[in-house]
Amino acid sequence: MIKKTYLLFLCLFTLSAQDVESILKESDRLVSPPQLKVSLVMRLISQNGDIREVRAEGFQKQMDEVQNSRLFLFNFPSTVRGSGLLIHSYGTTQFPRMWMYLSSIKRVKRIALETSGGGYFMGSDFTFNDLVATSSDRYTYEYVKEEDIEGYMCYVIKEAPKEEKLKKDLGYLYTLAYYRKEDSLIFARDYFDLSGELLKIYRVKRVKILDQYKYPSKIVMENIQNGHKTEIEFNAISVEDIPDTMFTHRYLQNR
Amino acid sequence: MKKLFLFLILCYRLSAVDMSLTFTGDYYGSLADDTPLRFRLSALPELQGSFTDSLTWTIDLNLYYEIMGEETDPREFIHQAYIRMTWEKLDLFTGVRQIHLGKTDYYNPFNRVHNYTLKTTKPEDLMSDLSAEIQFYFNYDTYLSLVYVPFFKENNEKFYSGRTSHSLYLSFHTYTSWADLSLYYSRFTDHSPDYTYKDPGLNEAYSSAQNAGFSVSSDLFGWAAALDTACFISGDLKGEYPGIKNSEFHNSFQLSKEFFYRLMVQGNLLWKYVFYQNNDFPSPWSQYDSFLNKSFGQEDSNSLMIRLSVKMNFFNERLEGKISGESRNMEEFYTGLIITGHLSDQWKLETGGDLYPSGITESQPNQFFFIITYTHIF
Repeated sequence: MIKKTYLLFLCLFTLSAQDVESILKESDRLVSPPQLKVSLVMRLISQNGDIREVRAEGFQKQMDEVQNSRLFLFNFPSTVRGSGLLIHSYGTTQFPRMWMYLSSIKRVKRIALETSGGGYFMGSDFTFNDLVATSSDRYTYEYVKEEDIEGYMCYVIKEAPKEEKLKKDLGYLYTLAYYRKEDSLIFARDYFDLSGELLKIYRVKRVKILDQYKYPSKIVMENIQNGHKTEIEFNAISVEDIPDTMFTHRYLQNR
Repeated sequence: MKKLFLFLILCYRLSAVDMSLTFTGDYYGSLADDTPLRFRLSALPELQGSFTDSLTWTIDLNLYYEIMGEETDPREFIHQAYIRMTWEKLDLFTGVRQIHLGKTDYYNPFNRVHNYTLKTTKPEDLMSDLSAEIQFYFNYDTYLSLVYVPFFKENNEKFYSGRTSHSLYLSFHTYTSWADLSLYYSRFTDHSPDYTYKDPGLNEAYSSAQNAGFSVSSDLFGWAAALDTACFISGDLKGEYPGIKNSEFHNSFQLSKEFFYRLMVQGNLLWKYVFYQNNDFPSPWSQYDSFLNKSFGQEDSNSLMIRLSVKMNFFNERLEGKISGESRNMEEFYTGLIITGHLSDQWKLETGGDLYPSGITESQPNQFFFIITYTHIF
């Protein structure tokens, strides 16, 4: 009798592969308007409470079926003012490419992204790889449980890179992603390092509704192992059209 | 100076302006005997504005007063002052503007537009020449550039054998998904002087030279790699005239990578081959042979320069340490250290010095320095 009840419980609360796939698709659709423009304020908070601030304008556009482009133009602090970062990602077809315009040397430099999670983005707890779109084909997905995160019931899905090389490149073994039950929005993510220890946690603190999209307008990434935290606020969020010419080397170096 | 301020006011009134103002105090001293070499206060305004979307302007100035040192009068000079005009396929820049060609940061054989390199740190040495550049875009990631420099700063009167000082730098650049490629050809007046002999001694003379080659940068096993290969063709093609430097072949390679998220390592290597290298000069040049070869950097037919720098940051990037070492033919060595403290988003304190100078920096006394900087963004 107990066994039967347990099986019934599993049937009721286990998501099928199709369910997981539809959650992922909906989550992806919600946060992926064809183009997006934001003003971002990034606060880098050390364990002892010291806060550094980076301000930038961010642009994102789905250029075609494969290519997604992002551009960051930094305006604060003075050490990075005038610099820019251009990222082209191509799903599974090619590895993402990055170029940085350094205002101090007035030149565009190509940056290698292939190792160490691509390095941390501007001293934050987000790696460059956290910023680029990665194809879902390269991960396995497994429903784990339901859990309440900051007042919202979420589906918890374990997402693990299929290839060992990808795990090494990303710097983690797997993540636990929390999708809100009410709308499938990804609301939190826990990252586990290559030895399986909790490395960092990502939390959405505020969501902005933009027509048919919902965009996290305040997010926090905290490294549990070293106590460092990054808080990003996105302001002046717009989904209006952005010209393709902005995601080019010409714009990066001559704007 | 008055005209410059009037121009600034005009630009400010007519366009949207983005501005920052940096104040620095720098102190340089000699390591050997603690002698003060320089104490200078500077103000560095940087302004950028646009009259329209296709017409923008940039002005970077340096206004300084030297409390102790060689130039005790208040002075000013222009880092950059140029306008940019843009059309569908063309960008045009004209004015005083920093231009860096090539892809490597050090030992870059294409960085010949101005008389400074990325190793140049003192602001007063970063004086650019008047130039005009046209960039023609075939598409947004492939373009042709032509830079014209009518004359170079301060030395207009010094030209070799009546040759003109006009310099032209032609280059082709493309950014692809697997590599960034550039091709270069230039015919230019070399900033490094040659010499003529007129009794009783040598006189500096600036000669025309040519430079051709290619650059490539890509990802190489997880490292960011860059290669600059160039052939420098001097005015004395066969190496017959001792007062003119000989032609050279340059191969400059750079690798850089970040480790453990906070440790940046960069290695640079230059192999230089001098054509017709000669230590056996005829009279009256023979008495100057070692001076000339050293001045031209042509003591050996083959030379190898190696540079390694390691940069690490601590305490939420508030503190940064950079140590760099350099060697020429594994005979001369140099090591320098720079420590930077970002006291706040506006205040920065930098200190450092020559740790192990042996040969490479012998033209200057071994130095230490302190620089305090405050920047305000309007």
